[in-house]
Order: sequence, then C-alpha cells, then structure tokens
Amino acid sequence: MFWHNFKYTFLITLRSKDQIFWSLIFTVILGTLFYSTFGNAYEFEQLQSNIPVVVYLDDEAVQKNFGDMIEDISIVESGEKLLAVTYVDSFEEGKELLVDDTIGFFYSEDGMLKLMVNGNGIQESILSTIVANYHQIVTIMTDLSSKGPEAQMAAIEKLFSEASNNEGISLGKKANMDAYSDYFFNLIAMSCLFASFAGVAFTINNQANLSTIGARKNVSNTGGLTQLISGLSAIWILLSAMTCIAFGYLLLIGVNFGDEIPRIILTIFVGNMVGLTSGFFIGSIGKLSEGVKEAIAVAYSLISCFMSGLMLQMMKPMIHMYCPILEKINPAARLCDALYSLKVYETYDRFNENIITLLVMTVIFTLGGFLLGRRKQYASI
Amino acid sequence: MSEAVVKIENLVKRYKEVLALDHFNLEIKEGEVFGLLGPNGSGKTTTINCILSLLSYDKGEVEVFGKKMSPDNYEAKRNIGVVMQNVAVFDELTVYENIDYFCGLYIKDKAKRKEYVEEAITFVGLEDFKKFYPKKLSGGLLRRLNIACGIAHKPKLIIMDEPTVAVDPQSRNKILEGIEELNRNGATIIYTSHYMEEVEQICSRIAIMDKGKNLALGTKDELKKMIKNTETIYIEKIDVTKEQLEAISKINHVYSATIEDGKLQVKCSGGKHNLINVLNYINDNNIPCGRVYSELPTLNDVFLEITGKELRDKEA
Amino acid sequence: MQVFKTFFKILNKQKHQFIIYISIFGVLLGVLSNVGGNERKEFQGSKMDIVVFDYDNSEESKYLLEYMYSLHNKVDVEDDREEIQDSLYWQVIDYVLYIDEGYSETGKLSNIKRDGTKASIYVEEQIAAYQKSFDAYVAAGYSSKEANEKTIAALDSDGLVGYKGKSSVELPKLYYYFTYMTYIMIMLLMNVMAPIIMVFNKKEIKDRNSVAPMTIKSRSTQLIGATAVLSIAVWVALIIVAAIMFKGQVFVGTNALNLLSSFVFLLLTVGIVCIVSSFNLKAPTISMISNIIALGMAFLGGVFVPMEIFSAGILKIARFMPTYWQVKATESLYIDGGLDTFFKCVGIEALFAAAFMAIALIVAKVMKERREG
Repeated sequence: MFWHNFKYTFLITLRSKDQIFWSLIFTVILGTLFYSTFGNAYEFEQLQSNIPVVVYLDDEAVQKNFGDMIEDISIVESGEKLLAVTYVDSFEEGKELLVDDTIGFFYSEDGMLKLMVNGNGIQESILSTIVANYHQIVTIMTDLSSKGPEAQMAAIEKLFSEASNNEGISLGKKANMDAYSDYFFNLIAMSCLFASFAGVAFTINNQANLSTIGARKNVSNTGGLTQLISGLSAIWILLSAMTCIAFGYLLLIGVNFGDEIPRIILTIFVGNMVGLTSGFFIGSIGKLSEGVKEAIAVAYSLISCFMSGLMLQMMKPMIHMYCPILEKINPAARLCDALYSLKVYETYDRFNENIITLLVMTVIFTLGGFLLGRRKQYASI
Repeated sequence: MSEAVVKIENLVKRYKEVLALDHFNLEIKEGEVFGLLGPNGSGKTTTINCILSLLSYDKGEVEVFGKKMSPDNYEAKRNIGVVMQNVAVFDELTVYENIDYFCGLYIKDKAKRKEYVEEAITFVGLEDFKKFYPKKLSGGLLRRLNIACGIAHKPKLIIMDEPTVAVDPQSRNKILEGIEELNRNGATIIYTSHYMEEVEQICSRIAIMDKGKNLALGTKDELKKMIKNTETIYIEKIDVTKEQLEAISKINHVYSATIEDGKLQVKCSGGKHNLINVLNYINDNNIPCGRVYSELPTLNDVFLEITGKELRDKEA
Repeated sequence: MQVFKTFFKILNKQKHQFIIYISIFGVLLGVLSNVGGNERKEFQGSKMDIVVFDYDNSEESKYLLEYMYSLHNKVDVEDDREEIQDSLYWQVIDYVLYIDEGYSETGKLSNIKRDGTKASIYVEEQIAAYQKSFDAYVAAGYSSKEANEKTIAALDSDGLVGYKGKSSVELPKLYYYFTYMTYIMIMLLMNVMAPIIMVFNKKEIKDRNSVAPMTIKSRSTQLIGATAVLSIAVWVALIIVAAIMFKGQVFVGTNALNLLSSFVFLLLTVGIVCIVSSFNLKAPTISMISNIIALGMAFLGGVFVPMEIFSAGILKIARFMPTYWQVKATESLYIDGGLDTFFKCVGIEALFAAAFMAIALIVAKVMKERREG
C-alpha cells in the first residue's frame, strides 16, 4: 500500500502541471532576470577606470601643479588611468559638457582648483578627493614655506610617499562580499516554500471532510498514516528534484553559489520538506475553506521571503537588528543563511545550525498538522 | 435466514439545530438490493456517511457485518465499496490508472489487482477509454468510471449514493444493469436515490425516508399496499358537468374524481373493474373524450400520501 | 445587472481571502516605502558607514578616529569576524578600520573591506591623505595636536565642490511609496481579482442555458463595470493608506500628480490581470505567475534596484516595462525632469494600458471559444 500510494501520488503531482511548471519557470525566469540585471553588479561596484572629466584651467599655477599631471593619476592596484580627460577652451563650454556620462568638470577659480559635478554618486566623491588632495598639498606646502629646508624635505618626503601602511585583512579563503548573491539564495528559498501549495492541495485531497476523494481514501482499507507519509514523501522527492533542476540552471548561467554543491542539494531537500509540511499544517486547519488556506500559503511564502530580503536587501539586517527572533523562525531566512554560510565560511557550524532549525520546523509542522487533522470521524462533511 | 449486513439502531445525528437523523432504524440483509428513497435533505447521504463511519453521531448503534462499525474497522472496510454522489477521481490519472489506484488501496497483490481492474473496466464498458483522462469523458462515462473505482476490489457490500444524477439514458441503463449483475454475483447493495423509477426497477426492498425518519419499509408491492390508492384512471380531452363529476365519484371503489385542463383523474381503491365502470358511465352519457389510460400507484404516490410531498421537486 | 451583481456575490464568497491579501500587501507597501529609501545610500552617499577599532589608545590614534567619524557614520559592530563578515555583506558597514597597537610609533593600520569597491577605495584615500598630512606636519616639527589641527584644515574641501544644477535631492518617501506601489498593485489585483473573473468564466458556462439571453455587449459591459469598481476601490484604499501615512502630503502640490500616474498604472494593471484571468488557474498558480510578472517587472523597471547598475542592453529591455515608465514619471516630479517628462511617461503608461486591454479582449475571446467549443 505504501509504495502503491507513493507511486501514484508522485504521478499525480508530476502531471499537475501547475505546481511543477510554474515553480520551475518562476525560478528560471527570475534567476535569468536577476543575473542579467545585477549578476555583474558586484563588478560594477569595482572602481572603473577612465572616468570621463572635462578640464579648463586658466590659472598658471594650478595648470602647472595639477593640469600637467592630471592624466598620470592612475589606480594603484591595476595601474590603469583613473581619468579620461577632455580639455575645453572656456568655463561655459566646460559647464555645458557636464552632462550624462561626464562626471566632473575641473576648473580654476581664485587660484584654487575647483570641481563641479552633476550628481551625488561614488564617482563624484572620488573626484572630490582629488580636489581635496590638491588643496591639501597646496595648503601644506604653503604652511611649510615658513619652515626651514630640512623640515620641508622631511615633510615632503612624508607627503609624497607611496608606501601604504594600511594592511587589508582577508576574512578567509572563501570570504565573499557579493551581496547580490542573496537574491539568488532567496529565489531558491522561495522555490522551496512554494512546496507549501502542494502540501495544501494534498491535504485537502486526503481528508474526508475536505474533498470527496479524501472521503473515498478514508473509507478504504489503507490506514491514514500510511497514506499520509507515502503521499508526502512522494511529493517531497519530486519537488526537491524540481528545485535542484532550477538550481542547476542557475549554475549553468553562471551564478556563483560557492563550491559546496552536495550540501546545497541537502539544503534544497530540507527546504522543500519545510515548505511541504507547512502546507500540510495549513491544509489541516479544519474550519477554513480551500481558498482561504491557499491564500494563507501564498501570504506565508511571500512574507517569509520578504523578511528574508527578496525585495529589499535591507530587510534582513534590519530584522536581525530589531527583531532577531523573527529571523530565527523564518524558514526563508534560515535557508538563505544556510546557503550563504556555505558560500562564505570555512566551517560548517553555522550551516548545521540552520539545517537543524529547519528540521525542527519540519517536525513541528508535521506534528501540528497531524494533530489538527487526526480526527477520523467528523461532525459534518 | 439471511444475515444482517448492516444494522442501524436508533441513530440520532444533529447538525447544530437541524435534526438530520431522528431515531433512525434500518436493517439490510445479505444479498439484497436495498433502496433508500427520499427527497433532497431527507438524510440519505447522512445515513450513508454514518454507516461508513465518516460522520460522528450523537446516539445509536451502527453494525456492519455483525460488528460495530468504526474508522479503524479495516476488516469491514476491506469488504465495502463506495460510489459517492460527487465524482471522486483524479484528473491527472487515466481511466485505467484511476481504477488501479483505488483498487490498490484494498488489494495488495499486483497480479490479482490487474485482473480485477480489467474486469471492472469491462464491467462498466470503458474498454475503449482506458487511456483517456477524466476531463475528456462525458458525464455518463465519468459516472461509470466513478463506479468502477468503487467496486473494482469486489466488495461484499456496495453503497451507491445517487449514482445516476445527470446521466444520459444509455449510461443509466448500463449502470442499472450492472448493479443487477453485481447483485447476482453476490454483493449486497444499498442504493440511494430520489429517482423512484430506478428504485422500483432494481430494488428488492425499499425504505422511504423523510426528515431523518424511516417512514415506510418493505418491498415495492408491500409499500403500495400501504396506501389507499390502487388504481388511477386518466381521461383526456373531456368535458363534464358538475353533476356528472359527482356521479363518477360515486362509482363503486372510486374515492376521488377531479378534472383539470380537460383531463379527468379518477382515483380508485380496491376493485377489479374500475376502468370498465368508468368507461361505461362515459359511454352511457355520450360524453366525448380523448385518450384513456390507467396507472398503478407509484412510489411517488406512496410518498405523497404519507408525507403530502412530492419525491422530486418540480422542475423550475 | 445580473452579471454585475454576480461578480460581487463571488467576491463576497471569497471575502476572507480578499481580506488576507489586502492586509498583507497593504502592510508590505507601508514597510517598503518607509525602509526603501535606505537602499539607495550606496549611490547617493559621500557618507559611508564605518567602524574604527582603536587598539592603540594613544593621542594620535584618537585624532584619527575622531577625524574618520567626522566624515562618516559610526556603526555599532563588535569586533567579531562573523559579525563583521555579515555586516559587510549586508552593506550595514562599508569599511572596518583597525588602529593597531603601536600606531603612534609605527602608523600601522589594518582594515577589512569589500575589495576594490568604490566605497572602500574612497575611504582608504581619505585615511591615506590624513596620514600623509599628519606625518608631514610632524616631520616638519609640529606637535601632534598642531599637526592634527592643521591636517584637518588642509583636508577641508568645503567650497571646492559645486553642483551644476540642483544639488541632488534626497528622494522623499512618497517617491518610494508610488514606485513600490507598482509591485503591490500587480500582486494585489492579480490575487484578488483574477480568481473572481475565473470563477465567473466557469459559472458562465454552467449558467449558459438557464440565464435569460443577454447580449454579449451587455454582459461584457457589466463585467468591465464590475472590474472597474473593484480595482478603483483598491486604488482608493491604497491612496488612503498613503494619505494616512504621509499626513495628507499626497494631495499637496506636485505630489498630487502621483494620483494621476498611479491611476493610469492601475488601468494597465487591470489589463494584465484580465489577460491572465482568461485562463483557468488555481490560486497558488496565480500566486506564482503574479510573482513572476510583478517581481520581474519591478526589478527590470528599477523599482527594487536602481537603474544605475543596469547595462545598456538591459536598459533597452527595461523600457518595455510599464514599471520603468512609472519610476521615471515619479522621479521626474522630484528631480529636475519637469512636468514635460512626467506627462510623457504617463502617456506611455496609458499606451500600455490600452495595449493590455486590447490583448485581454482578444485572449478572452479565443479562450471563450475554446471553452465552449
């Protein structure tokens, strides 16, 4: 009876195209979308060379000190030039050209180097450090002029020294700061939580007071527990496989999940277990109609993913700060954190903690659903 | 002496203020085709669900195959087959797969099950539709599938709850024939319906229900004997005076004569020559008329007399 | 009127689901618009979020620490590797500076950052500038205290940088409300209205024989009327939420134009919903599809993630998203774009609305024929 029910539940779920198809499509479409929009955003964050600027310097001193070496400013790490310079013949012309991609306009006023920008981004900020730098050197040199030549030499040596005394610390081999991977983690988490819809549907078809098929199953010779476990197992395996396929697709298009593939697969299976049993739990709440149960499942998966940062990355750290208990019990957050810790940390402590929490949730949902739906005779059908 | 397959004693079931079953009693013997007749809302389905232990009840006893019926009584469940009022099949499985699935909830042995499933398909006449999905079947074929799923495991007791609702005549006949064959093969059948023609056709014993009570019980002849009416004579396209009408009603064995829209209805109780007597009167008085026919009482008449209501709501 | 009434009867039957969805999405919108602004910091900032750990506790280290905190926001984080990794990952902090023991002698510092990002380079530039200045002054014979004061003066770039136009305005919360509303509106209307229209389509077949003959025109008109009433009710509810949240600001001055743009967006959303409703789907499927459409459009349109990070290719695709135009329209109200841009964007949204409605009618007809065929 067990394998009989298992086989047919598997078949029924496989053929109910809705659940399978859309769950898969969801992950594939959004994954592709995410990857094309910000799959490379992290690289975007990296400093780009050749920032377009316009320059007009009518002050001789400024021209000598700054204008002559402006094109030599390069990025220390890569050696690439920082600025792509366009020279103009007047102030007005320079101001006019300060549109679209041109980030800054260097000009001179009152013997000082000044900068005009058109926006408030990081690139503008970096240009402003150049101006600040220039101003800094000029000011210091002016101050030093009152000191003796030895003092001046010592100071200048310090001022123009290339040596950096600021050592960068690496957080470990895997340490990775690409926050955009969180979107992909959340995508996998949402795919897992979509299993709750299948859980609701299965439960409704399994209980006599919720459907005629349930009644038919109930009056049969096969015990309720056998039907329940065999049915849920079948759906679990199938949906986990689907999520794995979606995951495989994401790997294929180039999303970086790290190297721990087997453990990621484990996470996917555990995630689907949580999703499925939560649906079972929701479906077992006797009094509610089918439509309301489905609405609850929808709301639950959406809110979990929202609080885990699917739409707004800020949500996760905010909840971590202000209401950490919510984070602890949010299955989507746990799943994301499991995937994140696999990507970034060298040890598995945090990963194991997440998996155990998820398994505990599964047990609670299963028990809860079982207790709620256990009644074999109903007051009304 | 046939054993009682189902025994219901003093069953009381309340849904909040509504009393669905009111000290209901019933005994169904082995080998019967037992009809449970009653209008919508009389408690037929409630009775069925109580027999199956799907519904809890407030008072009374339900015994199946001699033992108290409960959700855990798997021995009894093994031998019960149910055909529900609503079609209960999976849209995602073919005809064959559906029957195989439900049969498999009863029969573990694969070879045996295969045999049973094939027999069930032949039985309901769905050989040409084995690979079809339910969505592609007409209402009648769907009902046949529904039945196959309920009886494939060859149960000793088959409960059918309104299996012919919205079914085409061809399918209906096939279903009724099928039930008779099942019975011939040894199954006891409980058949609920509000179509009295079907019940009259196939049931050996009938109980008439209303408002959760067992109003009358017996074979169809026994039931018909319970009422006054033994014959009703209809004469169409006739026009009679008031005096003539009164005279007709005074004919021997006639207890009611009414006329409506040119159709004369004469109800008789007892007597063997009522038709001749009435026709004689018509002839003697030279009253022109159209078609004349006589009808024996139907279960509807039985129901009508007992409750004052019709079995089936008049079509809207 | 029967069709119209039936529509709302079905709604009444589903009122529990309706309430769940409205509450969820309403709250979601409220949270999104309040928190959403912070997402942009990366792209508007000259102020970063940093933390400095001073393990030297000398006069010099204190000067450096104070200077850094004068330029940037201080974040409360413990010196725990895991916490730092997470905080950097979530962009809660942008740079971690360690003033190592012995700094006053050696000037040794260490740091943890998001390698190579503009933010980290920017902060490091400032640290280097300070150190060099400070060292120079000290080498020239000034005391640490004097060196610090002079360094701060030398590095002061007030007045050196000017803006061409308006200095960038921080987008008000209202902007976020009306851009996130696009996502919420699609999700809400899809999950609430689509099931009703679907039930209606199913019912229509059953009632086909018993309902008194009604012209297709009459039935369509009533159905359109019913959807119009429901969707406008939802829109009004969302506006009321905005009015309450922002204390009536919604109706003041240019803010009121948001009402126009959001209404036009409502129309095109109804079009989308009608297209999807032509198919017979179950509630969870509607949820998945609505998520695909809503999230997809919202991301591509620059609602959740600013368009600055899109490549040119993606930007081309983004222009096909109605959400893109809604974002641009709302933006133009608060940034130098002007009313011309606003009306142009709203006009394009209106075109989308018309197109979706047309498609919806065609699809509905095809599906109806298929159902009845």
